[in-house]
Amino acid sequence: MNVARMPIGRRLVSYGQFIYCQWLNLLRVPAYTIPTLVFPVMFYAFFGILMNPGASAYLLATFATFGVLGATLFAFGVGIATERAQGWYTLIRATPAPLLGIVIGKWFGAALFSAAIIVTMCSIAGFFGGVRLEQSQWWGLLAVLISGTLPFCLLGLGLGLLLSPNAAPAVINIVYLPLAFLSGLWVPVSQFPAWLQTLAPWLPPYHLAELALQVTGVRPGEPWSHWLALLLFSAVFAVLVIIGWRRMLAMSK
Amino acid sequence: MKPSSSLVGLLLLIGLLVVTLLMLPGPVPRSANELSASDSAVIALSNARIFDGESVHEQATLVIRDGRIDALRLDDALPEEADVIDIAGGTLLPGLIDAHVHAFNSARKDALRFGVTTVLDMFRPPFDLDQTRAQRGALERTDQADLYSAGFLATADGGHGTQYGIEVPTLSDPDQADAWVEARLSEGSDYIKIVIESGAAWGGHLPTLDAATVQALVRATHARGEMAVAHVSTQAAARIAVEAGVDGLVHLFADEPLDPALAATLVEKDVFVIPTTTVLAGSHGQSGRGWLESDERLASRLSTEQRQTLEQSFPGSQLRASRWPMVLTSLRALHEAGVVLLAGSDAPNPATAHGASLLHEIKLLTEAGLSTIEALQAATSVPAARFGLDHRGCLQPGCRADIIWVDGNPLADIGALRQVEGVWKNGRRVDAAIETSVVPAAETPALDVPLDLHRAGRWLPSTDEFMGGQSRAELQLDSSGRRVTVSGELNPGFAFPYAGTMWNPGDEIMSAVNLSRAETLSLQLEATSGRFQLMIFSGDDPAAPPIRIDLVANETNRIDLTEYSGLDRSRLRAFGVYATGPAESFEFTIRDAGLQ
Repeated sequence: MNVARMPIGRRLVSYGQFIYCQWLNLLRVPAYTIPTLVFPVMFYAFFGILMNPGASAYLLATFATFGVLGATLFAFGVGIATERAQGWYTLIRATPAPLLGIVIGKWFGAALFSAAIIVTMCSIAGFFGGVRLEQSQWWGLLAVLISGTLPFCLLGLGLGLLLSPNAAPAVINIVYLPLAFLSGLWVPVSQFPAWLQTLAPWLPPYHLAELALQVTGVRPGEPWSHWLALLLFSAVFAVLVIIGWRRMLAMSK
Repeated sequence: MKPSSSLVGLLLLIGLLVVTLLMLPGPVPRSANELSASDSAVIALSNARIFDGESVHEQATLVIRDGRIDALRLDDALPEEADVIDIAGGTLLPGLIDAHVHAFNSARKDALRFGVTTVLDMFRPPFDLDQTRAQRGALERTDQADLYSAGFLATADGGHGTQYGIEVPTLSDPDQADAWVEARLSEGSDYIKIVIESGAAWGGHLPTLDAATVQALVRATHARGEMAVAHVSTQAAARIAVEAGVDGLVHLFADEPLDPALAATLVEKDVFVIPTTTVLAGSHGQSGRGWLESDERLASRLSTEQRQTLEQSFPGSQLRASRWPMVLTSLRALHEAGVVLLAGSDAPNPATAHGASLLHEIKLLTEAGLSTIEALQAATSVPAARFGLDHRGCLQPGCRADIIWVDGNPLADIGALRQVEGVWKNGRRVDAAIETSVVPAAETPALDVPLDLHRAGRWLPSTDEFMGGQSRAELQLDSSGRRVTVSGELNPGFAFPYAGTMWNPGDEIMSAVNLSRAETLSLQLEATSGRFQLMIFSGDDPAAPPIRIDLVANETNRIDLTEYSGLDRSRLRAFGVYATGPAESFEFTIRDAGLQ
């Protein structure tokens, strides 16, 4: 049955099933779940609350960005690489299930995870760190960070399509940790040496962190340039995804 | 698909996340009794141009809560509970940081009235540093600027810094450096100031620390994780300091033009410079007094002590006026080479006043080529970063609510800095009015004018011994009673040696008389060579710093006494006429001295 002709209702049910499968996947493979969820939250509790009580609001924005970045890159990068190697996608392609469902399912998993990280950090900040925000700002932080994951979804997807399941975790760690540090997610960019400061705007997490800082009222500013930067990065990573996709098709022939 | 337990789990998880977010604490509404009218805990300064220490926001609102900046908002939303103050047409800046002062007497109060909310002292006795440290850590209401201090300075026995009548622990050997630094830091010094001063720039000779001792001091300071800064007045001394690895120079030298190679070394070693341009301007006949007093509101905030220090001049400052362009050229070259500059006034030296002179310093920095924003950064975010002053020099959330409200736009016109409309310290508005405590002058005897100074009062020898110096003077009163001849020697001891004679109106030395009607002092000064200065002592306190005015030899000097607002003619105590150099021995004659 041609996917394009599948009735819209069937298709939605199919997406729902992919989402549900992803949830089961999260429950059944805690190896991914625990570190991605626990580490950023633990770091924030240490560095944002205990060690720098004056900077709790600032570090809430940047560490939440850090958490979201990890959740997304690992869900897509490692998840896709592993499942691809297991032959799971070859199997799905033989069924009438829409392939977009894989991406939607993965995105849901990453978004759910990100939301859990953000809300946990927010409650630590609010209940233990003395951070006081309007309801609109708490929800705004969640909304900005979830919607701002687009470039990282694409980056993870691209890497997941290109890398072998053994290489994926290593490569993604190599991308993820320096990217987080150099974008000022652990230490504000303003504390870097001047030459290093100029690097940050060329990295996508920097722009997402700026948006998070703005929406929580920590730093005033105009958000549009940062959204534009995130879109441009998304376009670049989309090219990576296309290359990866073509390569997978070519290899499975 | 049957609803399974894991699907229920998923829905529960999502529900839990939503509920948690809804429960998160919002900004705490204040109860009415917590909010007193005068001491509102939440203030919104709206409609303002805001320089936040780094950059400018053209239309923004600053929210102050509990002594700190709560938010810098670019939208129009105001917290409901806030007292709103409309800043339309004005600019908010972080409370300024003066990176070079000597904080005696009412210095910290005087500074605060002009929006200087933090001062970095570069030498004062350290006996109250525990108290000042506690004050700057708190967010209480205060009428004083916060103080960071070097405590005692490191100098040689009998060297610069020992002449002020304060006993300073000196050192003479590199081996003493470690214990000396340890002692200062345990007294509460925030950083270490090292004096390299041979007196050469002032035409004198002073004992000074050698390069080896300077190096040992810097090493000992850095080993304890603190900063070492150096006083220099010559390029040679600056080289010694930089070679030793100091973190900053607290003066720009003016003995010779800046060597570009030195500027490059300063950049390479990341050494900052606090040029203290305003005090250099004062000592080169370019006092900031005119610029400061041309704004009436600013002038009205100057205390008597501030007026007096501002009206003083360095001996021979007019003679050095021709060298002033060189100073500005050096400063410009430093800036263009990329050397980090910090604004500092060196108040209360002659021709400076606490607080006000930092505004003049910022203006002079713009004359030397800094943009207005760079000059303002040099008085806010830059010193905060260099000296590790957290939450100061900034108007971002979390920073201390130390704020100046200036009427106008100092980013377009630096002159607007003089229009200080309001100052907040720790989130509370500072009372900018000065307490005027005029003592009734009823018991002061009055003298009529015209008055011949050779007929009334007494001429007495007078030297810098009063200030701890070692100069000598002898008087010869002419039998006709129409002239006074003074001879003597200027000896090193005081920073600016002086010797001469002092006319006392009464029988007791420096007892006050009421000379309110005297408007002009005239006198003829005869000498073959040398520099001369008039000092006028007046007011409540005989020990208050005098007004200093340069005199011209072999001419009739007419001084308009009404021009000096720091001069209290209703309580005039003495006129002094002094030789100030450059030669060691001097002789001069005063004739036809009179008041009209």
